[in-house]
Amino acid sequence: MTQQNEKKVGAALVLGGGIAGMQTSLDLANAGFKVYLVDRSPTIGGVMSQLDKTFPTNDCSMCIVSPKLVEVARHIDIEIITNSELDSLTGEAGNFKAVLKSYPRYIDIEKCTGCGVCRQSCPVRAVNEFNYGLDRRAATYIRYPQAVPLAYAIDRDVCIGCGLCEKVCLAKAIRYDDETKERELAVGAVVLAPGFSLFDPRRIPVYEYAESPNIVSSMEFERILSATGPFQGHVMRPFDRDEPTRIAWLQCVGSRDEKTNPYCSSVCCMYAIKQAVIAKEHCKEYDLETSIFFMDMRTHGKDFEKYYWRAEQESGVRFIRSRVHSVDPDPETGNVHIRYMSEDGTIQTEEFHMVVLSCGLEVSTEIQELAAKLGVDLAPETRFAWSSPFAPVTTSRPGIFVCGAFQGPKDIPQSVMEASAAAAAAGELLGTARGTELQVKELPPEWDVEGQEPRVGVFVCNCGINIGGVINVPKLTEYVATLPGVVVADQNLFTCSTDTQGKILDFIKEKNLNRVVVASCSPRTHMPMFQETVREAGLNPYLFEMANIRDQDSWVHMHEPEKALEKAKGLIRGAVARVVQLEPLHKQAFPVTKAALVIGGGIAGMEASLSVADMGFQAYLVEKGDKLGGQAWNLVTSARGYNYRGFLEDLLKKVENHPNIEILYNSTVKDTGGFIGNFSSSLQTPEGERGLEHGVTIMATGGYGLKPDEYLYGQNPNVYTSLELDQLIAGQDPQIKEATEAVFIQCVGSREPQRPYCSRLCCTHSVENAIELKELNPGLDVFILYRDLRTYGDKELLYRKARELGVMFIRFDLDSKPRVEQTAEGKLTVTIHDPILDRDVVLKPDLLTLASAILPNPVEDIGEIFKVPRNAEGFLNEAHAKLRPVDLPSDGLFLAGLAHYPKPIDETIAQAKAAAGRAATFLAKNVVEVGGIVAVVDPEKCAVCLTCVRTCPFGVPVIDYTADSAYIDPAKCQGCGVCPSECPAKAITMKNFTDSQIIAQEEALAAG
Amino acid sequence: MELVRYLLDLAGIGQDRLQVRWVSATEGQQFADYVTELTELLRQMGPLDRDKLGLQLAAVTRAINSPDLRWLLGMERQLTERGNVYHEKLDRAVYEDVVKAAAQEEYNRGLIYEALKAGPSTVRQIAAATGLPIYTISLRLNDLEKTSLVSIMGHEGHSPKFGVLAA
Repeated sequence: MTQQNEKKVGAALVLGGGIAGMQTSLDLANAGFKVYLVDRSPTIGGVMSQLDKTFPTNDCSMCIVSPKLVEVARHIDIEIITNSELDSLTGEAGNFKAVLKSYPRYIDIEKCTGCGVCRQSCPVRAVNEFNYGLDRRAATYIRYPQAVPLAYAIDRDVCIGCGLCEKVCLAKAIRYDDETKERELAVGAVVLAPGFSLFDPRRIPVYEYAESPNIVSSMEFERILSATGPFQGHVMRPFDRDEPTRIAWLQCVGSRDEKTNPYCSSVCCMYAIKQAVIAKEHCKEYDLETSIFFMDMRTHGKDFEKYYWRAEQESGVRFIRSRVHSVDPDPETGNVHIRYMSEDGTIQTEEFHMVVLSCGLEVSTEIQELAAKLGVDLAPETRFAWSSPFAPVTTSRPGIFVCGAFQGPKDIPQSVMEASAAAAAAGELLGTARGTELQVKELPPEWDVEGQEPRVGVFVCNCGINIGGVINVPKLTEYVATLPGVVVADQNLFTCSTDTQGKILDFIKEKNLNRVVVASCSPRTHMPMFQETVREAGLNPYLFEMANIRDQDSWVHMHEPEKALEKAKGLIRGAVARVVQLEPLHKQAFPVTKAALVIGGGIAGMEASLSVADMGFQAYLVEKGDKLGGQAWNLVTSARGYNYRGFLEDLLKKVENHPNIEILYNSTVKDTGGFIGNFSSSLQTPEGERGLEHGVTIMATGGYGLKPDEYLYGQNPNVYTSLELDQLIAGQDPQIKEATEAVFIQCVGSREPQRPYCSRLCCTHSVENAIELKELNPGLDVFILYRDLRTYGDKELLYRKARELGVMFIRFDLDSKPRVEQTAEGKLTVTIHDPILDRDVVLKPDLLTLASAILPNPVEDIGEIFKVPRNAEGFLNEAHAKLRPVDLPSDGLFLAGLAHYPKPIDETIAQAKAAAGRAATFLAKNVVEVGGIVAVVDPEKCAVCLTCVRTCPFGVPVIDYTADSAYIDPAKCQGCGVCPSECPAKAITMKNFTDSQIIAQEEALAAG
Repeated sequence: MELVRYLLDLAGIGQDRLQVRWVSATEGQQFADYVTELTELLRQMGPLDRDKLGLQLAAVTRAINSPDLRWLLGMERQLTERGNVYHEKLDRAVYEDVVKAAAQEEYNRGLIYEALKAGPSTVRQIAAATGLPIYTISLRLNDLEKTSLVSIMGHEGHSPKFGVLAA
């Protein structure tokens, strides 16, 4: 055992740089593993970088993903390897040898500054795949302006080798002699996150995609909506650039289709609604009509149903339940005629100005080939990576994990969850090798600048011609040298280049600089890098300031070079005045308690505890009852052959016997305090009160099935809930054999005004039950009464199987719910209006099953103790619906399972592992650093008016009655600056942004 | 020369209207023969469309003066005979296709740009003025927008009007 552990390599290879690949890389690297992030394209960012907005919050996709891009790019333990793919993988879990093939980029990433002069001069054009062919780009290109790495590449397929780019490149970054290279890496684990490819609608000719530029794929429409897209976000049709006034969306293109992909792609309903809503927002000047042609509206995610309702009721999106019969483009007008059969069977034709095809998600042939090469099994019917529902991120080959859309079609939050789960799974495997492959940077001690006269060095950047082409930089530098306190004023072609960094370092040492200003681009992307350089010279990193003379000056005043020069002088004058006022800041380090408190002993709590424990940390599993397992005890049967009970018993054994897990039965949390890495909570246990020290907390408080109060539940013995029917099926109850008719009613208590959410798993549950009933009693007539059948992903295959077995599906609307009555003898009748036949159908079931809603367990008490927010339905609210799906808003708190939203067991396990994976990013650290840019209260000035307590968005300030003053814990303060600006007594100071610093900057700025 | 003739063809003027012959001052008869030959040719070709001629010639001129096209032409021998930056010799046919495609696009852009000098127009109005297909105009307008030569300046109903930006 020991010998084997010694051999494990503390590094992981992540294939695919989309959102899943980035998240898993960050979680792995923050948990102490070296990460090689490999992408086939010249940049990371994946599909998220191409989206306009994201559902259900309508956040701008690029705005939320770009901080992640920057974080990945700047992480010292993540190496981004672009233009590369995995050529071979040998060895075994814990110790692989990976051979990468890196294709030539022809532009040196280290030298390229992303200035774009090569693109402007390139004489040849290629299809711009970033905009899905809606426009073109040069042969020298960058996928998008915020790309990471921020370096151009040459598209060798169209480049004719004229040599012009080399002539114009001031950074000397062009490498025509670049060639394919092989590289061998030693890694302990591999995470596959290669993503999906969009279904190509040319494969179904009836959609006439190839025949009209006004019939676009959903990704093309996404680019049309985007401000960085071909039409700068103006909604226009490609054919004649006219503004469309009627747009149609056709759902299930390449999904739920026997001839192409039999599964449901899970995301298209939501993205179509989002596109319709956003398109309407873009076209404020006129009334854009939007129509979505669909079979079942599948809005099964958290807050999706409400989004759907708002789209229909507030935005006026038209939803047409139909089958599209034909699509007929008119080459003259560019309009498209759609013939469809509506639900009542009538054929209708409508004319639209533009048609969007909601294309499905699939695994590309390249990725299928890669899987075959790696020995990773694919699910035969869907071609997504195969995994067990009980280990959703584990592939068929040990040591290789999977996350994101390659695991199955899914949306962003689900991908992010799996990404963190895959990081946890790899962390469990490599726990003993944690920290062995990390880079350790030796830094010189900081020198004390206290009492020294300011000696400022200012470095002015030409940014190729980005700044220098507009502003006279030599003149500017001359002027800067005359400013008070400036000892060195220097100019560089590219201040961010490695050699200039060295030059800055030398200047600091030679001239004893104690403050540094860089006048260049945006602090958003470059501040941390310059701060690092300054720190390497022994200077406190907070003695640094930037003046953005590119984004705020040369770019916006391109045609006024004289005025731009004056503005640059002002900006730098302000920066210098501020930098001399800055003071060094130091962070405090606290040791991290390497333990997690897990609340709730269901599957989510157990899986999270086990993962934390397997990664080598302590887990305290708190269960308020006397038994672990939660809802999983109710899962006794599965049409898919899942052995829930076997899994549960096995898991129980592992959890109960794990040396790193302590289970506290019949216990509840009474109080908690402290901050991330250093929490301390008190618990009520049967043995009395007990204190626990822990670094993080995971909330897995679970949920339960609603006991219905309608459809004669509890009044007739033959009315069951789904879980009750499970018991009958598992016990092969004679009632099933004797029955002649069984009916299921869906959405019992879900998707109702008082509970406006979809419970996500009931459609699949009923379909599975129906299959099992048919198998036990083939003569049984089975009816499922539903509103929209939501068998998303590969669960669609179950729906197909049920139909093949003869299960009948009848649809109803919220305003025409089925009527359940019983005769005097107790015989049930169900009356439902069949929309296809347009008449009432009366069913006489021997078994009536109600697919009832899933509710969160009430957590008012601990919700209060941990200050966790809940939504209107009582589910815990994550920190961010898209990118932080397992984090709670307070640092160090995570969530998983039914407490978050109804979900099937595989998704619960993924989320539980994800919570553990996120927890590990903190538990792996030895110390947690607090302070720096935080607010500090002066107790002398504080009048205890509570303004800060009320205004803080994070609930940090408290009143310290021993000092009669507000107190802001530097460990919790987020440095947002709200309280210092609100404090009426000016008792609160924002470090690094003090009044005197800002006033000095403003006065200098205005002095010109 | 080849390129100018190609552009004249694109413009519908016809490549044969431009001929180059090397004639010495002593070869008077030969000169006269060439002129007769050209006159005969022009007679066969018939009159030019005078309404569109100005626009067409202006577009040809824009195309000939475009830096991309000039650079490509200048690189002809380098790319096809001496070898490009990857030490490969470009097949002449490939080179010619690249140049022709570039010339076609430059000409179309030139035509649109020149047409727009008369005032902001919708895509369909541009089509009427230039005779170019609607979708081609939409694509080339996109190129012109990217290089900040053309921008949307108002609307006519739901059709945006494109206009020339001041340099």
